Amino acid sequence: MPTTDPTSPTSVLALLCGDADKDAVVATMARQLPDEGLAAGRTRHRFDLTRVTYRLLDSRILEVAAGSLEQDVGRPLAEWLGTFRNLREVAARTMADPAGDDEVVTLTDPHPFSSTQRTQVSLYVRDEKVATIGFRLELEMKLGGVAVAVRRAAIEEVRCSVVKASAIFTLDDYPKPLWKPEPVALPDVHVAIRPPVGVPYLPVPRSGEASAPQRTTGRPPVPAKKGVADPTE
Amino acid sequence: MTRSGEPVRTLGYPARLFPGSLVRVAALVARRRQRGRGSALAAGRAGATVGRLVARAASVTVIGTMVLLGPLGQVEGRAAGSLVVTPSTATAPPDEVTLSGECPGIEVKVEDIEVEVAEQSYVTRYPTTLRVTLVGQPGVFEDIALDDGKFTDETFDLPDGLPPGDHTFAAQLLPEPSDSETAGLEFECDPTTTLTILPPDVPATLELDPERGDVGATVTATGTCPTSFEVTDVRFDEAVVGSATVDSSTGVLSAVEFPIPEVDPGSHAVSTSCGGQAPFEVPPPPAIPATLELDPVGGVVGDTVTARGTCPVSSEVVSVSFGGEQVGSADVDPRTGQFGPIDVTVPDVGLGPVTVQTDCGARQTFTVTLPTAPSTSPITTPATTTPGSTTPGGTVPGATTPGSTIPGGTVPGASTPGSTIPGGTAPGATTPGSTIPGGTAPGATTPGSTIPGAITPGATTPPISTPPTTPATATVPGAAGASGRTFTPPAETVTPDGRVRIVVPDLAGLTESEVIAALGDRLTLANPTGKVGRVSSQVPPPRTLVDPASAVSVVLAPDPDPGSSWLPVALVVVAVAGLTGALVYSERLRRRHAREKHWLDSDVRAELQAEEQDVLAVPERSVASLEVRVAVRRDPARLEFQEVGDAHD
Repeated sequence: MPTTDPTSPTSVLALLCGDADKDAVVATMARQLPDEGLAAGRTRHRFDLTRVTYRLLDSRILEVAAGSLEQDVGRPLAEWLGTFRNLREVAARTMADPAGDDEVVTLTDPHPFSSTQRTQVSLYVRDEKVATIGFRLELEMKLGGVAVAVRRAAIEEVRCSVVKASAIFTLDDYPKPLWKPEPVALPDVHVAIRPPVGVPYLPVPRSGEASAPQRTTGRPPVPAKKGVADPTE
Repeated sequence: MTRSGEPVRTLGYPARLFPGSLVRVAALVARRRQRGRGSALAAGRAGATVGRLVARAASVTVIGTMVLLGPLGQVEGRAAGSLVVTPSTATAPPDEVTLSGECPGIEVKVEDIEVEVAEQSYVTRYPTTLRVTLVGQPGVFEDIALDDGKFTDETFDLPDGLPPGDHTFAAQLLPEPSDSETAGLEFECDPTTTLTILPPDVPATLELDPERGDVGATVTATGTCPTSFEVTDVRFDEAVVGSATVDSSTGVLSAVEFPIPEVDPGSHAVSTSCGGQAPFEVPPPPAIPATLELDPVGGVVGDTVTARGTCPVSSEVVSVSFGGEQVGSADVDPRTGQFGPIDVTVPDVGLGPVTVQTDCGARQTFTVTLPTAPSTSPITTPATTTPGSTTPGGTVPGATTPGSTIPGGTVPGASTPGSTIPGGTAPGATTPGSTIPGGTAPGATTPGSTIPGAITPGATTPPISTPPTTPATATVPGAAGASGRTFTPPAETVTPDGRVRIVVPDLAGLTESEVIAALGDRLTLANPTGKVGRVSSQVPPPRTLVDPASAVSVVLAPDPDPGSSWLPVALVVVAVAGLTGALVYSERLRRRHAREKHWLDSDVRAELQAEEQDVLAVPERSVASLEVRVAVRRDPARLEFQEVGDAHD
């Protein structure tokens, strides 16, 4: 492994744009809006505002919507990795091992990870919802040389030798993407999962040991209520 | 119970009384009297005396019972002892008060062993310690040592923040020490007293609405006074301008409306007799310009002219002068600055425009004109006959006929009926009593001569009735310029010496043809050129008096193109209007943006609602390329990946 400090993106925005300002992203989105904007078509029947005000309102809606780009990228990635059976088995082993050693699972071949998330920005006027604008974030990552650190059946760290990521942020019912950054290829990405994401582990029987106790089909008798005789007795 | 085991009797007020003790009191009195008399009475008389004593003792007992029980029956339930707080009333919570009071003692019977003859005596025991508590204030009390049941001016510290109202001090005796003489005595002392803290009084305030106004304006005064006042006067400076009643509970004044009295501009003090004060500002009067109006604006010497106008109020008196000659004066209203109307007489300061001015600086022009000359038109000639007059050749066309009226104003050489007027006019012909411009004309009257148009001596020609005319009122038919305008002929006047003069009209702006029409036949144009243009100057100037038929020369200036002169003006107007409209619209738009932005900031919010991510599903099976390798991390603080070989299960 390289000894240099790896890249540690914490959000979708940081993954794709590095240190780019969120305001710049919002400005980019504003330029891609449809001609009538976001709020004008949805609220014009109720509010007679000037064009400048509608633009300002659209800008504020985009600022809120862009908040979805600041979500943690590590957690969905870890949850996705936790669906691998191999990882679940390792998680079970970490739980069974009293020594508490960490297990590292490596995924040698590139593997695609895609995520689609829908977000809605609700517009309120004096606590009355007047409009809802839907957005969609599609994130796709190709991970190469994935190493996952598992401890006590929880993913604590993910390292990738290379990550190719791309994203598209679109407005519902509008084909033109609002934000489509250039795909990036990052070497040696290091994502710390805080808090660790638990892996639904499969108990792995050790050699020579009996299998894990199975749950009985019968349930214990229900305690009788006070003052009422148990009919089973 | 006393130490001796005898029952006690109580002294002081109110003492605990029992029927048995009352009997004992009577017996005691009887015994004392008996002891005082014992040495004097012989033993032999003892038996009779005993009977009387028993009877007297019984009487004393009954009387004493009535005396003592009577008042007690009237003050049933009253607390024992007394307690006085000083002060009993305070206008603000004091830090401390002083307490004085007294607790009743108990008279106990003791055995006086020092007396040779053993006898019983009584002493009074008093409680030793009294606890005074401020009711309703937990933990606030004072233990007061009693001196023979009394205490005086004991300081009692009050807690902070006592609210207004009645606060009760309650006294209670503490248990007597077990080793004291008073141990076991049943003292009673539970007096109470009350400290009254009055609520803070209402301050004296005064409010004026409005706080600024002119003399005579109505002002409403409101406010409060201490409730000790029932009525308060409202003063403007020192003058009482009204009175108001004071609400006895709230101190609120009834509203008082009063007009601002005659005071100088500046700041004034309005006050109430209860101490409220508020300033009032009388603004200085607005600057009054000096103006002057004359009615009429023209006339002859001796006419009466009405003058009115305004002057600064500081003028007080204004004088009016005509051409430097003072003709009148008037007082200036100290508030409005107006003066007049005053009637002044036009002085003899010459003809033409005269400056009329006031000494406060106003100016106006008055045109002094000569007395109006008798008009010769219309001329009505009565039907008269001139004997002997003949008209050679019969009737001359244009000659007037008796009773005919010659329209057209001036007819030099008014004719008489039957006279021969060559050409219809006889310039210079005179009729006695009539005024004919031109004075002596060709064909002047010569007695005895027969001149066409001359008046035959003896001919009856009554004076021509000529109503006074004003200059330029007679219309000259057909004297219209090329532009179609109609002009009146120049006015004529008669000087005091009887000369007829023509007032030169103002020809400025007229075309040459219009000038000719305006001059009519009374004046002539000296320099007709036939050029196009308008009069820019003339000689003699307007309103100059000249002889009839005098020449007037004018200078024509090129006539500006009316079309081209309007275009720049119209463009400027349109540009200004457009710019003004744009500015107004821009300002309105800016204000609307500001309002809408404020609305966005205060009332509108946007919330993000994210849904769960839809992650690409992965089969829950082993992936062939997923290798599990062993790594060991002992230090949880830092993860070090170590590929140590295949360890796939």
